[in-house]
Amino acid sequence: MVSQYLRILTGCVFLVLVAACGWGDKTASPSDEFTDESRIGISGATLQEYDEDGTLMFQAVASSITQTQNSDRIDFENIEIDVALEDGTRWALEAPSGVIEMKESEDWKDGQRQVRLAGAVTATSFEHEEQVFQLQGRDLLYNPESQSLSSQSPVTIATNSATFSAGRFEFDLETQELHLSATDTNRVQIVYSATNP
Amino acid sequence: MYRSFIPLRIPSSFRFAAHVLGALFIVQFGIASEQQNELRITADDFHGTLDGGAVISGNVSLQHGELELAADEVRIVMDGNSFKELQAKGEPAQCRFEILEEGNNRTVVAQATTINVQLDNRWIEFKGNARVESDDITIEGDVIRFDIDKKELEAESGDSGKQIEILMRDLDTATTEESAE
Repeated sequence: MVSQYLRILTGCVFLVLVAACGWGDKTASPSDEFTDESRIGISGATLQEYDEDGTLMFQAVASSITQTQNSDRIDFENIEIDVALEDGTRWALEAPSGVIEMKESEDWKDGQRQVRLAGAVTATSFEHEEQVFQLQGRDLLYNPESQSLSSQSPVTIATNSATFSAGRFEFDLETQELHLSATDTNRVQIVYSATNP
Repeated sequence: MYRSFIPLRIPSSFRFAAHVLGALFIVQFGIASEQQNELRITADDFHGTLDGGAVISGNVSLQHGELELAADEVRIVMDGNSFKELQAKGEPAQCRFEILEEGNNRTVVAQATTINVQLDNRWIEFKGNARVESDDITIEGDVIRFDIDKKELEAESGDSGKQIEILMRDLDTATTEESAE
């Protein structure tokens, strides 16, 4: 379960960013301006979320962020999430839009907040700046606590030696364990092109 | 229509290294070449890693070169970027592959409770109510192994004590009869 501490910390980071980006650069874009009293929009925003130990879990950069007063939802446009794992692997998650629900909602899983990445999503992993895997799907959920991705929509994953596609999936970024499932319209399809001696 | 059968029964626990039968399988097995080294799988469920082994289940159909396989569950074992082993289970798991015999393609159809394709050692093992069938021969037993490179077929009875059964068809007679019809 995400602690109250995390929520506060994230909120603080967000507010600092509002102050730094929104107030400091008001003429950069119309979206920088407060559209009304209950709605805040800023551009070129960065959101950093830390765990309880103070370790950076992920950093999200978006072309704009919008939050409505009395709402626990933050909307991102052109969001790019950068995840640096302990083993040195880096994941870049890109989507046209994203949503973080600060209060428990259907996006949450087992009490953990997830980032909803809407539209066509591309997730790319890098090791030593070299691309290793690329995942293309729609409407993904990114769970920063478990460092996992999931989706109930069709997905395609390409590696150097295989291509996976399925109706829905769950993927652990750290262990690289993948669970693909068929739906009524999309069966699990895998094409390996390994090289045997 | 094949009417001329030569049934042979091999005693229990007798290991049959069938060089004669092996001669029937002068094989250029499809999984041998790198061009045919693509493995295509369709299934209902996949559990595994992106670059390692996996367990694939639910109406699994697999194609690897000239090898086609249908099973309830297939386990893939990989060694780095190479396939090491395919383990298929089913009630029964079914397998079909083409072999090249003196310029002619021969279709082999097999089924067993488990089919183990050793891609690095290059042999296939059919285990549990195994049955391997080609144009002119059918072999049934608890365990049947096919060595891809040596072109040898081995059959043995397992713990069940069930005898190996070999059914050879006289193709010349069959061909004559078919021509007459």
